Amino acid sequence: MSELRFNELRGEEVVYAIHRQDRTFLPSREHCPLDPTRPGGPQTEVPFPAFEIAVFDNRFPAFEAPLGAAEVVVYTDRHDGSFATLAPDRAEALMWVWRHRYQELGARDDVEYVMIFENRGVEVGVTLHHPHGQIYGYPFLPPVPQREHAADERLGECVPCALLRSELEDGRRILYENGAVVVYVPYAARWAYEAHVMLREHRASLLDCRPRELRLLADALQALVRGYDGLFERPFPYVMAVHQAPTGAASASGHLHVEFYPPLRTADKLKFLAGSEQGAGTFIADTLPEESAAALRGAIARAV
Amino acid sequence: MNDEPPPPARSQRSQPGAEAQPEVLPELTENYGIVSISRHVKDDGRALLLFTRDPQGER
Repeated sequence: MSELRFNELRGEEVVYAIHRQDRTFLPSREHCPLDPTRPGGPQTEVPFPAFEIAVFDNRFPAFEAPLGAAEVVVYTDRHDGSFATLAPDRAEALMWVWRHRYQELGARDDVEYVMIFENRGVEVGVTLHHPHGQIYGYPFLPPVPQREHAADERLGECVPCALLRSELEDGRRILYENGAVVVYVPYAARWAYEAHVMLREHRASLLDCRPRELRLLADALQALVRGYDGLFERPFPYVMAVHQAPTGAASASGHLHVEFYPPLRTADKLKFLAGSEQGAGTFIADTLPEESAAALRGAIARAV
Repeated sequence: MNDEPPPPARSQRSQPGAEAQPEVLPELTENYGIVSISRHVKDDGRALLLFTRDPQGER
């Protein structure tokens, strides 16, 4: 069981999950725990010879009942590939899986905030290469959704809605659009190739989305990650986080959107969180969002 | 005509020598949008959900 300690100086919780120190770390392909269990082979986390999408409680959870949840979402039973290479109907099905888990975990009394995310690449600490994501059910409201709510209060409107209007009006940082979703590098991006995937209509969460919107959300996400992979012609590491309304008793505002934080600033150089970022909380960027957007927009156009 | 009822679902978790399989709870299979869900319990008690695209699901 993890221990929570409140860091008074930072005003935030710190989670001590010391059992995670021993979690599986970059196993050989033959010992991937996210593969299906082959006849005669070692038992994996999914003891079936084939599956489409699997969700299970994390063996090394940061959170677990009665203080939250930690789940693994395996996108496919195929070891190779990525979210980008999933068939479109599988990516669409994944949106429904996310929706289901948000609904079910969010209904729990010990879950205040559900975050669906994916860490891709060893550059962001991936320990298993099989295509997968994770879901945390936080037993408290973490700082980022707190700040998003505070921004709504400060400006007196849904800030993601306002930012989307602004990005569409400006146009220079738009990467991709379809009938329900807009993808752009935000005006004040912190990472060189940061991108936000935003529903055009105000939707607090996946639960509010129409089936068509879920399909178009999957299309937009795949277009972006395919563009990422094409940008430097290499698998593009990123952290992807699905932002939705909190689910706890003190439910606050929220606007469904997906944020990507890629650490690459060039094909072979990483952005590190160093003195200014860690000591002062201020990002120093090496690129302008408009220039990154132009390059990434071209890569997406070539990839879709 | 075969009137013989299907064999009951059984847990293979404790069968010595058998490859471990999760307990299947077929009564909890459900449809959700375009996916169907079957719920299982792994040997160590952790939940496992398998999602399958339902061709008849909501569009």
